[in-house]
Amino acid sequence: MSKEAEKSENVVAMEIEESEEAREERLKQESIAIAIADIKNNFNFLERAVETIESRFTTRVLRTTTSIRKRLTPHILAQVINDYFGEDPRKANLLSYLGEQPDVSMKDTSADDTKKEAHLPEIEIYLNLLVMIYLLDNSKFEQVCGEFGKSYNLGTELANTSVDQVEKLNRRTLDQLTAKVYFYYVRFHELTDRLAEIRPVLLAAQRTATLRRDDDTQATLLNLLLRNYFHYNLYEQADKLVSKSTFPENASNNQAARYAYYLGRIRALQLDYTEAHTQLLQAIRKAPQNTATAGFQQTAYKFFIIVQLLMGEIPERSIFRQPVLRKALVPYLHITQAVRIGELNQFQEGLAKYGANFKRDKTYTLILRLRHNVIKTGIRMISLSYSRISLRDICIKLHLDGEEDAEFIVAKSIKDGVIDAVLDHDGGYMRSKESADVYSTNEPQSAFNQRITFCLNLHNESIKAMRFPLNAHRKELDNVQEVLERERELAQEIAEGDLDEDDDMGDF
Amino acid sequence: MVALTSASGVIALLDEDQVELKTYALQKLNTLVNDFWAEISDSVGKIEILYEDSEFSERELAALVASKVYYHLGELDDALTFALGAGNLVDVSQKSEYIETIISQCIDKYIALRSRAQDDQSEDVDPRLQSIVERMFQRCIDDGEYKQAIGIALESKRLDVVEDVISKGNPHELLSFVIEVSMTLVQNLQFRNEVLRLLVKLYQNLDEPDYVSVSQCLVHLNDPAACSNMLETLVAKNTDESLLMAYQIAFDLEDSATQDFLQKVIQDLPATKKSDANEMDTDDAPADPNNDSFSKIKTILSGEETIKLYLEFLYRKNHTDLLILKNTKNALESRNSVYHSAVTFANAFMHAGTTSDEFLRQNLDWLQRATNWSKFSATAALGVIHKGQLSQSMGLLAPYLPQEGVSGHSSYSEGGSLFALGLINANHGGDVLDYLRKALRDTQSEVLQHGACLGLGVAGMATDNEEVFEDLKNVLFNDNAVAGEAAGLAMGLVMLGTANASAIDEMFRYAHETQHEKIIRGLAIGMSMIMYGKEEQADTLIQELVNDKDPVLRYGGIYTVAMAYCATGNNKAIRRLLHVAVSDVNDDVRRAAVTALGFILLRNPDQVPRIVQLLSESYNPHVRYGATLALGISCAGTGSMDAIELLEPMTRDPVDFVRQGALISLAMILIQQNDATNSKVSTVRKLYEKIISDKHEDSMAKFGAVLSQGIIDAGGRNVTISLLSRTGHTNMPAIVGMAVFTQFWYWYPLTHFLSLAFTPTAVIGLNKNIKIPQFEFLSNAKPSLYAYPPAIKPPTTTVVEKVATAVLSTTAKTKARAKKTEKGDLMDVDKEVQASTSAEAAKSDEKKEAEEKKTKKKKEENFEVLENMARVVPSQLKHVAFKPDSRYVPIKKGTVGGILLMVDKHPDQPEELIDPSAPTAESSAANGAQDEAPPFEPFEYTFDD
Repeated sequence: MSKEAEKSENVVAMEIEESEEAREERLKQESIAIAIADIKNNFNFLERAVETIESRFTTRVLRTTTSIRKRLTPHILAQVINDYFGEDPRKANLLSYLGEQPDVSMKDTSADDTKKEAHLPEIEIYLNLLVMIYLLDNSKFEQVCGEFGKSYNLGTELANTSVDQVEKLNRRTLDQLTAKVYFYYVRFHELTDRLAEIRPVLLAAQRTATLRRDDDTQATLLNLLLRNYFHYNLYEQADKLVSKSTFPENASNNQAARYAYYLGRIRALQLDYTEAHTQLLQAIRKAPQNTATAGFQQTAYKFFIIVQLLMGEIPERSIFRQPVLRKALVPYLHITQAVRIGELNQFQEGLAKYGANFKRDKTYTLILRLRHNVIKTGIRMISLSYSRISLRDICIKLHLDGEEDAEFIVAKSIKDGVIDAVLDHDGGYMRSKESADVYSTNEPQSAFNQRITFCLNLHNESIKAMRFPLNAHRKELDNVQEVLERERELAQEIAEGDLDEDDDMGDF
Repeated sequence: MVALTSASGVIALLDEDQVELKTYALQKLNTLVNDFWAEISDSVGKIEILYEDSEFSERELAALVASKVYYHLGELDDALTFALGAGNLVDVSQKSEYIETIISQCIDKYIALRSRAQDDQSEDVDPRLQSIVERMFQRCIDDGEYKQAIGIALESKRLDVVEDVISKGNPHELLSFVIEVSMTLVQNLQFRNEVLRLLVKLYQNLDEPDYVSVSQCLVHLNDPAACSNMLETLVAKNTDESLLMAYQIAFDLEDSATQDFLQKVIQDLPATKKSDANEMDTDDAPADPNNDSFSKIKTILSGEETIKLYLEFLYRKNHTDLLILKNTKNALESRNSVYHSAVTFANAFMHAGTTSDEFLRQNLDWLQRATNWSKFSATAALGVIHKGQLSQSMGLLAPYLPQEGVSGHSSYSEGGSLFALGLINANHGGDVLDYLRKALRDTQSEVLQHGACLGLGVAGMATDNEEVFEDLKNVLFNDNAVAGEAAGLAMGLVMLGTANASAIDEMFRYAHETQHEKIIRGLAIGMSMIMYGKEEQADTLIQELVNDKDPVLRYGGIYTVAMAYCATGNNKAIRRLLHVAVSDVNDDVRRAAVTALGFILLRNPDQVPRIVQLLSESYNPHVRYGATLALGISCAGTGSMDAIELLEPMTRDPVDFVRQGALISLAMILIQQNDATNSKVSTVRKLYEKIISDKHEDSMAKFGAVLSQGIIDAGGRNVTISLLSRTGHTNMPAIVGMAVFTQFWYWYPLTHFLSLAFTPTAVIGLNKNIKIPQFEFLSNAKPSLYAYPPAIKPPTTTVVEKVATAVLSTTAKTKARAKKTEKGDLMDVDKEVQASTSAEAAKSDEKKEAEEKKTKKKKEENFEVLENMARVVPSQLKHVAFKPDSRYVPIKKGTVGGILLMVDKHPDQPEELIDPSAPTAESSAANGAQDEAPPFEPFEYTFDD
């Protein structure tokens, strides 16, 4: 009995094992099939976009890129390309980037692809885009494996040809795809560190996009150019470009966030902290709030924190606690703490410890400017704590070099309005005035005003960003009409009932 | 190059004193500008100073750099100014984006300047600009892009260039392109006329002059003298072909020109000796062959031939479904005058031009129930039914017309008969005008005056006849509301499209004087008629009317916009209408404004659904009603699905008159459509039935449904509503008829005016003797696609047993027999003719059903052989083909329709002719001996008040 049971258990287990393997295989097959189906579905959307000249469909296609990107394999791509292009010679070209042999799958597909004749350039570009994305992801993998560069070169090559292609085609239905193509074009060149060469290309493309009123490409290219300038620390050029060109109003949110970020950085360097603050805040708000964009959020927050500190404000502690940001912001937390308590030592310590980090983040120059802020904060703390303090004590507290130095710094702070105090030169001390009640001033009012405007802007923008589908109100109208109809029928029935009675009466 | 990260160094050189350095800097900047424009733009001022410095040697280079900087900045105007300053440094033939942008900017500027120069003749165009544009033209011609060059030349009003380009390219193709573009896109009337003049010149200079197109141009130019000249030269050539062409042109002219124009052409043609005599005995001594052909042309131009042919066609092919009418009549209470009128109108429309008064014969007692104005309409309906029987109009209506000294009839039927007389002779006044004038002068009864005025208006349309106008004015000055309204309207109709200033002035003044709203309305609509097709010329009047404080006059102003700009798609007019449609305080004016959109956008029916979509959802029912009519008018006969989609929900509108409008418009759109061409037809037809039989439906909606039944099956299912002629010109009587029809809102008898908008859809071939030979041609489409809707509809609600009879094909014969006997009971005329026709109908029914059965079983053939005088609906025309081996081919090329002159390839063989069977003057005169009584006048109904 027990033996038998064991045996049967074994059998069952084996079956399960087998079936699990099969299932894995099956699942794999299925997922491949789904991926292919998704991509083909996107083709349909692109066709529809071209037919109806409605950019909405293209947007929808591009939105699925993230999910498709994860599933891309050379096999899937090869199959899709084979299916789509049929006998077209360009197929072999595209497949060669994937390292797939065109002739393998030719046999299976050659039968049923004669019917597809006209190729939409949109779909072709989309396929190029997918291959590029694949190559980009693959290159990361290669980096891990140690064989560096092959995919980069392939990708750059493909990007170059794609850019040539989109430049020649003047089709409005291609706009969004064009933007994406340029994005990856720049990305490949950035990774191979050849950004400077392509700047003229980008400038020319930007001009073209402006002339064609191609908002998506225009916005993307503007950001790419800014990034290009930033890469070489050409902030002045970047500023000139920004001031002489207009960012398209109805660009996509992501591009708008990027643009705001770059603008924030330029303004921060130009000492216009308030403007920088608003821009960076906008960039953070506009960026998608998910883990996929962690990189952007981290970078934006770094600058945001520094700018806030430079403005004399202390960032919220909660920022540093967010899981996405916590690790990346550790150096900045250190600096923030130093500024908050006005501890110059701690500040210097942090600077020494994380200097490399800051240089890499390109925030180092900005952080150096913070030293004054640390001192100022220190003085403010002192002025709040002491109604009268000798310059000597200040010296000690702030680790300054001498009493004279301290006197100058205090004088400057008084002039800047950081503290409300008087210096007694003869007595060698600083005396704080009674601190005024902040709520008796206009301060709260303006603070509220600032917040209210922000909320209103946010509201307006979100309304603007909404899409109202055409004829959506029709359904409502139909419903109303149905109700009316029913009412009328009811009335009719009642009336008819009456009439019938009348008729009966008449008969009698 | 790559190492360079800033252009500031080069820019600094501009501040140097040495000219060489500056020049070097400019040269350098010229190469750098594409990458560093942002930086350079800060110091563009310096470059501009260099350009303006007259001593500087490289001024042009400076201009070029400045131009490029502005181009990058998006300041294209400045970029152009400097590019012009750069002179030859700007190489126009280069293919860069900069150059292309500058050139397009250049062309835009040039066009703007030229059109402004046209207006006030003040501004001179920069010669540099001109030279660039000239170079562009040259390049277009070199590249063979003739159409591009013509387009730009037309926009910049350069007729010399147009001429030049046409002579260089393929004249045939380009000329038709120019004519199409100038008719649809050139908005300025004056300039369009100039273009047309040029076209006439060019057409005539061709090796093979295209007389058809020339005649169309001349119609637009309103140049009858040139037209008659052309006809004369054609006749003088005295070949068969040229004669045929002359006849064809005469038919085309008749189709598209005004009465006034045709009259003048006839007068200008050489006088024919005793033309009447000639006509009577043509085989007697052919003294002068030209004489004969001239008299033929004259008869064609007078419209008699066309009318006769169409009458013949409508009479032969009548496919009216009497059952529909019968059901409708039975479902409605005939004592209610609204319903009575509705059925009258429906009957009139269904039988328009077919001369079939069968329904009336069968329902004499019903007919007798008409009272007052519905009697007026009922009598006038005879005019619609017999429309086109010019020669017999008097005889037909004799029993109803007012007789001197005798006042036996009610004035309503007399008035109606006068109106009917006008309708029969619509747009072909001739002799009846005198009769009507006399009738008008002889009476003091307002109803008679009303009828006579309307009759005069319809018959004397666009005759510019001062005498008639005076008579009408006298009636108007009596200040009688009913007669005055008709007089005002008729005055407009007589002066239609003349823009007669004194007439307008008098009408405008009287409109302010009178107290009667009806008269004001009549005058307002009349004024709009006078401005028909006048475009900008009407602007002052429009301004005056639209700003008037009397809403009725504003209403007229809106109609003036509609008439003056009809079928132009003029943006200014559309903007004005849309503004009024949402801002006027008066509902009538708003309704009119929306309706008028339909007239303006006649040529682009696809646009209308989009434009009126929002208006059709307005809270204001009048605006919604206007939207329905706008859709109906512009999309009439197209079966446009977009329009139907908008109209369908409106048939369930909570307001009754909106439902009415939606139903009528649906009928106008779906006229001559069947289930194969439009899937909505049967549902819409069912909807009409349902509404009519629904006891609790409002009477307004019912009226609309009945009218719609009449419209959708109008003219024995052989006519369509087309406000544009086949050649794409505006069909004046149709548009005017439609405009007056929309006035039925105030006055039901005006509903009859819609019959003017009905155009028979036939292909009729004629030989050189204007006779109808027998021949066949092909329609390369499935027969079912353009078939008549199923002929017999089983009465679903009333009679049950007929359902069975209707379905079976074999019963058709018995039914016909039954019909025969029925008729026999009712009338005592010439049974043979009727019997044979009904037997024929039965036979054809049988054949058709057999065919249908066949097609169901087998695969349907995808072509159809049609005989001469076949019904060919507009969308079918493009499938029509003539067999290459057939004996007759049309003289006109391209897609053709309507009346065609055919070239006979075998003139030596005997011809088989189709004998006209419709009741005409000649036939009745010829067969007078055999015919005991004319078949169309066998009964007489008396109205007992």
